[in-house]
Amino acid sequence: MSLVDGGIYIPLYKESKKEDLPKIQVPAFWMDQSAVTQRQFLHFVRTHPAWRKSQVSPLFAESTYLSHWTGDLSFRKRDADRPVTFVSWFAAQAYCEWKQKRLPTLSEWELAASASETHPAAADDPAFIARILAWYAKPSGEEPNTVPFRNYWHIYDLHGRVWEWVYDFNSALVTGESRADSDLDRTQFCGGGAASATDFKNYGAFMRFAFRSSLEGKYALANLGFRCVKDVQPTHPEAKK
Amino acid sequence: MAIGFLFIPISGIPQDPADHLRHTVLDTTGSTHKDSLYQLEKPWRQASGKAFTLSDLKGVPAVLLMFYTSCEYVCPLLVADLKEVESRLPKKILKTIKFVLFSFDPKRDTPETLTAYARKMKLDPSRWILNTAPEPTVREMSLVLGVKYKPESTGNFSHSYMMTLIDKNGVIQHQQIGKKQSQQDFVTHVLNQFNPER
Repeated sequence: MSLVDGGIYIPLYKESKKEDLPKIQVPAFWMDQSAVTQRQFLHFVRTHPAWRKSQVSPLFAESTYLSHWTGDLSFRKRDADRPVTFVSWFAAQAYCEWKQKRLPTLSEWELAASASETHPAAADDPAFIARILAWYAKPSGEEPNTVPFRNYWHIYDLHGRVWEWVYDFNSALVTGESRADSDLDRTQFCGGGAASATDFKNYGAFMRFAFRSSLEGKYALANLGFRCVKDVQPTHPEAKK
Repeated sequence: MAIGFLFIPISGIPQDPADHLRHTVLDTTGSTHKDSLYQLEKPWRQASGKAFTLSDLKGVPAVLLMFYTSCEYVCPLLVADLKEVESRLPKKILKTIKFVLFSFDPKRDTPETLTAYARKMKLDPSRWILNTAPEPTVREMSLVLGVKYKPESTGNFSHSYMMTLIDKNGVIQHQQIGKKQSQQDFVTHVLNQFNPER
């Protein structure tokens, strides 16, 4: 794992128009250097039969769960070190718990992912942002991008291979439907989507926001994997049982 | 959902709604209810201080809400809507059905706070079960119910307006998203759960 220094994450949306730039203080944390691989996930599934694709509960994973695996405990050999995908949030969370880790919060993931090769906070570096967008623009074929991208924290491929689950992905309330999602700022109505955004240039962040808000916990998608994080201090409130 | 419903009058429900109802209710299909929310194992804590898991409801239809007590705007409406549902149900059903509330706010919603809230809102303790739990337990519940929520810097939460009806096997039968003018539609869904012809 790599240590990511604490820092300030600026959410994509303000809570209200009158608010100044929102800031979330993120304490330092450890993050897996790579997304969890098929081989690593196999080890989990082997020791946790409830997470085998023939046995997993439909409450916790849709029918596409591990659908690219050739059997309950097998996949194509050449995929062994590729990120595991077709995994639900529940499966990812269970894996991280098994490792005595947890899924990164959205703030943690975005903070770590805002680092370029040379700078810990590159969200205002046009070249870095353009590169991320170029990755997103590529159609996601079966073979993920295999040119590794190592960022400032020595963390690999936060961009460029697969999308990744975050712990609190369902905190993106985008409907703007005040009766459905309560207490919502009305700036998120259709057409006003970007009005309360904090960074208009960071189109990649909008794409991630939109992608996350379209997910459900049981979804298992072809290009969605995960990695785990760990607290520096073991008393992080979200890690407490 | 292939659930052959037999109406099984449930008698002798203990006054404490969280007492484990150990008897198993078999349905006519012998289905194992793979979608049952009873699979959620992380325990909640009730206002009474006792532990609660959804499988404690075995055999009993219930309505589930996520809320928090210091919510000033929407949650009182949500709870009021469920109270309206309650007021439209016949006594016989009220003896059985449970209304289960799960708090987003583990920091402020202690069992004591929940107890005070239930008293203030006049929620009948034989039927209303208010619960609190640490964040990962809250998150898991929100994901199986499809409720979105987000803590705000003020300490409040933005969250979905959602009422969920589960059947006596813990399977979701109906969800009402968003505030409705009338609760009649939801009441009809509840009544269906107790309809002997199902």
